[in-house]
Amino acid sequence: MLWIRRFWLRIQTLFRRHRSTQRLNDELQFHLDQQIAENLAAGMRPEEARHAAMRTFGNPTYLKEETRDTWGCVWLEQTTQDLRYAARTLRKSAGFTVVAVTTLALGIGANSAIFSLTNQILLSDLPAPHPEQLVILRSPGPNHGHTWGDIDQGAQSFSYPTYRDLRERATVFSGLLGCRRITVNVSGHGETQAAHADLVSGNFFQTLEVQPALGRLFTSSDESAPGGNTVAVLSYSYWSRQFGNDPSILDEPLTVNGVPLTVVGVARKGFFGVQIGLTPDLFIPVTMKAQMAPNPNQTLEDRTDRWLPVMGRLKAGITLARAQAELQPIYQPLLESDAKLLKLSGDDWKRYLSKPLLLAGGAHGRLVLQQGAEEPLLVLMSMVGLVLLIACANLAGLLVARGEARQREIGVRLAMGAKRARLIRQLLTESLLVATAGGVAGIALAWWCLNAIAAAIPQGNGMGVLANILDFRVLWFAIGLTLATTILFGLAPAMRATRLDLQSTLKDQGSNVSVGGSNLPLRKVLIVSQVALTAVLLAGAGLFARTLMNLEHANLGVNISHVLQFSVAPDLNGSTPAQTLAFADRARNEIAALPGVRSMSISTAPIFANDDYVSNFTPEGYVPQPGHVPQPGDDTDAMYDYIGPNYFSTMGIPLIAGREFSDSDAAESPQVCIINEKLAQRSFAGRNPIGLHITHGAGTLSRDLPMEIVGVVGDSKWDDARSDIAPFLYMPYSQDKNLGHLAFYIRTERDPSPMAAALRSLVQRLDPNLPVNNLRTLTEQLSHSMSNDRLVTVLSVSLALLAALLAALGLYGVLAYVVARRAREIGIRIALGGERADILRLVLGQGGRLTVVGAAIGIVVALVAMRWVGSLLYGVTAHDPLTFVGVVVLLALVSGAACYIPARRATRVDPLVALRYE
Amino acid sequence: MAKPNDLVQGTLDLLILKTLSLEAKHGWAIAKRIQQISGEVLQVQQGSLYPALHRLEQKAWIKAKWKETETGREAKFYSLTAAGGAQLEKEAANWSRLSAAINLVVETT
Repeated sequence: MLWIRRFWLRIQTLFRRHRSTQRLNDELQFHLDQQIAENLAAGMRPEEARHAAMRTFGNPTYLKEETRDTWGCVWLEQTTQDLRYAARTLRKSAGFTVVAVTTLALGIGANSAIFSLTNQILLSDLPAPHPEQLVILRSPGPNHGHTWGDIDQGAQSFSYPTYRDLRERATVFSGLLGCRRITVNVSGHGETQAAHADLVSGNFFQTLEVQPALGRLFTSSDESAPGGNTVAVLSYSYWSRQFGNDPSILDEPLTVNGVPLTVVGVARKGFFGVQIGLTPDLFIPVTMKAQMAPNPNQTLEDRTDRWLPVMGRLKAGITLARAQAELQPIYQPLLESDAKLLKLSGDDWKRYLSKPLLLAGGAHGRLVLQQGAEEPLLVLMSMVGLVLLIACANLAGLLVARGEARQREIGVRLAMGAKRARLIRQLLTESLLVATAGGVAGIALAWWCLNAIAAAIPQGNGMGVLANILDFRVLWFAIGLTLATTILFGLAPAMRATRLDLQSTLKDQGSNVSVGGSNLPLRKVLIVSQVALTAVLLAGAGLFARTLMNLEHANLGVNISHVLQFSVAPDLNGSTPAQTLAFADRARNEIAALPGVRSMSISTAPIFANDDYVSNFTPEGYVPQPGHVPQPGDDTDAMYDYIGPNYFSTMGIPLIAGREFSDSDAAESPQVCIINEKLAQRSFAGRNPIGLHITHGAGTLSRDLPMEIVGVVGDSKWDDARSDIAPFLYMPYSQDKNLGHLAFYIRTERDPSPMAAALRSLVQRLDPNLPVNNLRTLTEQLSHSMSNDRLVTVLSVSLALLAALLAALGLYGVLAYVVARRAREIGIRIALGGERADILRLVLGQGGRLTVVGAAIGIVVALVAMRWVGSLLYGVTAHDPLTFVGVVVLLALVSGAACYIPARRATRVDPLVALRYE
Repeated sequence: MAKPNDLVQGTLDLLILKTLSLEAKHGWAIAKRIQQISGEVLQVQQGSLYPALHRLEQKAWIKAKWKETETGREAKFYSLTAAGGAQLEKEAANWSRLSAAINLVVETT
C-alpha cells in the first residue's frame, strides 16, 4: 500500500512543517560542515574553507525552497495562503466586498426564489411513475348539449359513456382514467365541512400506479353500479388532518352529501391526484356522480352531458402521434351517435363531426389551478432574470474597477519577482471567495424570500399551490452564472494587469494621467446596460402598480364595505329545490332579525368568485337577422343570477327605475325580472323597459314563459374588479326551478367580522349537516380575487427598486473612479480659477450622459417588451405616458443622487493636495 | 566534466537509489560516493541532491533516520525501502536498455 504511506508522509510533513524545516536546516548545515572540514583537510585556511563551501551551496534559501516544494502539500499550503491573503484584502476594502456580496446575494437569492416557485407551479411532475407516459385527452370544437368544463373551453370534458367506450375500444393505452374534481359536504364527528373530492374511475389508482398506505384502493369492481358503489378512499393528508392517522377509520362509514360511504383505504403519502396544487380529501367512484354532484337534468348515462376529464397512460413505445392516429377512427362513430342524439343538422352536424380527439402531454397533470397564473409567473421570471443580468453587470463593473485600481499593486509585485501564474491564482481566489460569500448569502436570501412569498399567497388560487421548496437546479444556475461573471471580469483585468509593461505602469499610475488600455469604456457600457435594464423593470413595475391601483379604486357599482358573505350548498345533501327554497326563506328571516344587521339578501351564484351563469334572453319585439343562429356573445347573450328581496339595497346597487323583488314575488306568482342599465340600453334602446317582457332562451326555440321587467338597476361588476360590465338579468330565487346553492350577503351597522360566529351557529342550528363556506367580508373576497395582481405588483416593484439601487451603485462607482483619476486635472482647473459649478457640471454631465443613453435604450426596449404584459394590465395601456414619464423622472433622480456624491467630492478637490500627490 | 544539470532527467534518482542499495548514508556521503565511484566525473551539487532526496522520501522509495555519525554528530541517514528496491531494479533495467541503445547508435556509424 505504497499510496497510503505516501499520503501519510504528506500529512506528517503538513503537520510537522515547522520541525521539518528545522531538520532541513540541520541537514544542510551538516553537509556544509562536512564540506568545510574537507576543505580544511585539503589545507585551506579556515576563512577560505568556509567561503569555498558556501560557494558550492549556491543560494541556500533557494535550495531550501526547492526542497520544501517536494514535500507535496505545497498546493494546499499556497491555497491557504491565497485564501488568507484574499480574506485580508477583502476585509481592507470592505466597501467593495459588501457591495459585491450583496449584489450577488440579491441576484442569486431573488432568482432562486422566483424560479423555485415557478417551477413548482408550471413544471412539477405528477406523483406517478413514468409521468411522461401520461396524456390528457382533448376534443376542441363546438359543444352541444351540456358541458361542465373547468379549463380549455370544455374541450377536456367527456360524457361518462364516451369515456367508457374509449376505454374499451382504444388499444394504445395501458390505462385510461377519468377524474372529476368536485366539492362535497362531509358530516360526522358532530360537524359538517366542505371537502374536495375526486370522482374517479375504478382503474384510476392502477393507471397512476399508486400504492395504498392503508387498506385497499379502487378496482374496476368499484365502478359497477350507478349509485351503488358506496366506498371512498382518503388522501393521506386528509387522513392525517381529519383522523390523526387513525387506522380504525378503515371500514367505517363516512357521510358524504348525506350518503354513507365506507372508507376502504388511504392512498400513499404525497399522492395528490392529477391536478398539481390542490390535494383532494377523498376519492369516490365515478358511478356515484348523481349523489356527489347532483344535476337534476342529467344522468350518468347521458351522452350529451360532458363533465369527465380523461387522462391516459400510453403503452411503452407508443408515440403521441401514433396514438392520436389510432384513436380518431374510434372516436368518430361516438361523435356521430352524439350528433344524432342532439338532433344536429346541416353545418352544425358537419362542424360537430369534425371535432378531433387530440392528446396533450400529461406529465404535469391538469393545470386547472394554474390557469391565469402562467402569464404573471412568466413575467416575474423575465423580470427576475433581468435583475440577475443587472447584478452581473454591476459585479462586472465593480471587478473591472478593482482590477484597474490594483494595477499598480500588481505591477509592484511583479517587479519584486512574483510569478504571474501565482498572482493570477491569487486574484482568482479572491474572486471565488466573493462569489462563494455571495452564493451563501444568496441561498439564505432565497430561503427567506420563499417563505415570505409562500406565506403571502392565499390558498386556493393559482399560486396558492406553492411550498417553500428551494429548487437547487436554479440555485446552481444562478451561482454558476455569477461565478462565470466573477471569473471573467475578475480575471480579465488581472490578466491584463499582469501583462503590463512594468515601467510604464509604475510611472503612469503614479501620476494620474490616463493610461492606455483603460477599462473605462467597458465600464461605461456596463452602466448603460444596467440603466437600460432598470428602465425596463421600472416601466413594468410602474404599469403593474398602476394596474393594482386602478383595480383597488375601480368603480364596482357595488358598495362592498360592511358586508359579510358566505355560501351553502344544500343540494349536495340531497335537498330538493323546494326544500332549499324553504331553507332560504327561513334563513333570510332569522339572519335579518340578528342584532346589528342593517339588511341582508341572497343570490344563487356568489359575487366576485368567477362563478358565471350566461344564457340567451330574447327581448320583446326582438327580430333576429334572417338565418341567425344564437351564439355566445350574441346580441341576446346576458349573464344572470337568481336573487332575493333587498338584494340591491344590501349590495348598494342603485335602483334606477321600477322596484326591487319582494316576498310577494313567489314561486307561483307572475314571472318577473330586473335588468341592469347595460342590458336595458342594448335590448330596449330608447324604450322604457319597465312592464316590457323578456324570455329566457333564444327566440323561437324558447319554451319558457316571458318575464315581466319590473326594475332597472345600475351596472355593477360581477367576476372581479377587472371584469367588464356585462348585460345582466336578475330573477327572484323563488322562481328558480333548480334552486341548489345559496350565497348570503349581510350588511351590518358596524365592523361585520364579529358577526361571523353568530352566522355560523345560526346555520348550524337550521341544518346541522350544512357546511358554511367562504365566510368572509366582501372586501376580503374582492381582495382574494386580486391576489395574483397584488403579488405581481409587489414583486415587480421590489425587483425594479432593487435594480435601480444596483444601477445607482454602479453609476456611483464609475463616477467616483473617474473623479479620483481626474483629481489632478480638476485640481489644475481649480488652481487656474475654474468655477466649482463648472466642475460639478463636468461630473454630473458624465453621469447624466450615461443615464440618458441607458434610459433611452431602456425606454425603447420597454415600449416593445410591455406589449407582452398587456393582458395583465387594467385601466392603463402598455404605453402609458404617465408611467414612462415617471420612469424617466425616477431614473433622473436616482442617477442624480448617485452622481452627486462624486461630483461634490470633485468640487472639494484641494488643488495643492491633488498636485502634490505625485 | 559533466555537470549534474546535464544528467538525464531521472538519472540522479537512479544514482541515489543505487548508492543507497548497499547501506544507509547521509547526503554528504551520497554525494561523495557518487563522485568517487564515477571517478570524479559526476559531481552532485547540493542544489540538486537535497530536493531529489526529499522527493524520493515523499515517494516512499527511501526513508530517513537521524543517527550519530562516527564523529558523534547527528546526521540524517537515508536508506532504501522495499518499494525503493523495486524501483531501483526497474530504473537500472531501463538505464541499461537506454545506454545500450545509445551506444549502438553512437558507435555504429
